[in-house]
Amino acid sequence: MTNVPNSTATDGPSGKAPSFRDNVKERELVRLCQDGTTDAFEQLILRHQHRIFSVVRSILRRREDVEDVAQQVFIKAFVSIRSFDMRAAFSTWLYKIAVNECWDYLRRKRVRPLLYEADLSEEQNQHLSSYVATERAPADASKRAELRQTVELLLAQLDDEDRQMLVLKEVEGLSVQEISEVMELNINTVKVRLFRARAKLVEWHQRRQPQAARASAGRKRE
Amino acid sequence: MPKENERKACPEFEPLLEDLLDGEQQAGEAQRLQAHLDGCARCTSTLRAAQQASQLLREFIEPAPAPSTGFALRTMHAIRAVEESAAAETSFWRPVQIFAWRLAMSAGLALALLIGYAQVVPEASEVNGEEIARSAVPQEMYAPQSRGDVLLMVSSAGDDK
Repeated sequence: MTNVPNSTATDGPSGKAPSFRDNVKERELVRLCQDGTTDAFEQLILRHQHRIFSVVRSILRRREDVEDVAQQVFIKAFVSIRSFDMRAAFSTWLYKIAVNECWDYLRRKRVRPLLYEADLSEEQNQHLSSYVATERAPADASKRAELRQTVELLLAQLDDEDRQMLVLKEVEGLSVQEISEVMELNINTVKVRLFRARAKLVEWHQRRQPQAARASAGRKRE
Repeated sequence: MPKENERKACPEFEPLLEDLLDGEQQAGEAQRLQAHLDGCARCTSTLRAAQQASQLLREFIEPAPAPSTGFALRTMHAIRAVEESAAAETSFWRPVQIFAWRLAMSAGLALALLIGYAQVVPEASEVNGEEIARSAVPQEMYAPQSRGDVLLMVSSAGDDK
């Protein structure tokens, strides 16, 4: 039986880029898997599981589905590992599988997270405004949960790619370089789109404020 | 859907503004950006909005759950199950595959022989089979049975001339 190089190094939530030595080991592990040493794949899972969870989460939004889809990603990667020609990094290839699997999953479930401006209530707007003004999160758990829901609604206004990029950057802590690999985009494009997407979020919130105030005044008159 | 009239920063400074938010600025670029921000209200306000958005997302959006301790093991278990079922499927269909392969080979060989035969053998005559059969069988000679028969034959031969 072939010895599998033992590695406890995982990508970890800190998101450090793998060193050259790690890359060499990774190629060795991939080659072993391609030659039929199934056990070597476990090391690859341990190395990439955190990043794959982040990528999947950035697209799916439902935390409950993340583990199932991540597992499917690794199974698909294993099944087609012989077709991986090592021209790109293994991580890039794996991210591509993850992104495709997520969209397939959403298509199968027929999920279309379409939300409209009216989805944000006046109260939600007020809470968000007061947070933006003071930059202090409420201590009350229910208010925090409400604000979280409001931010999720705002985030849902962005197009799929922009939303995914922002979550990967701000929530999952991926670098611009890593995002460009996941999404197969030029680094400069990622920077510009990230910056614009952030500005859009706040802009939309601010645009809703006068509308919400008008709607509230109308209701009071009635 | 939201309209595309959001505030926008000056396009050439957007990557630098993103670097500033990311804390990844190079010294020369930082000075250039600061000089620009001092005179550009639009970039300054967009930068402020982007900072607020970052704050909101970091504060309120929950990151992905960490993989549970047994995730890798469970996934390997699932992978082995997939491997085993693929192997079982292969062994079940193997005899059928071999038979189909042999059948296809035999059919191919027969077809090749037929084509070869058609090329080598010359085209058959268009004369129909009945005529060929009649000409191949020798005509039976008529033997006269009496004196009258002989005279009849002589007279009919004279008529032919």
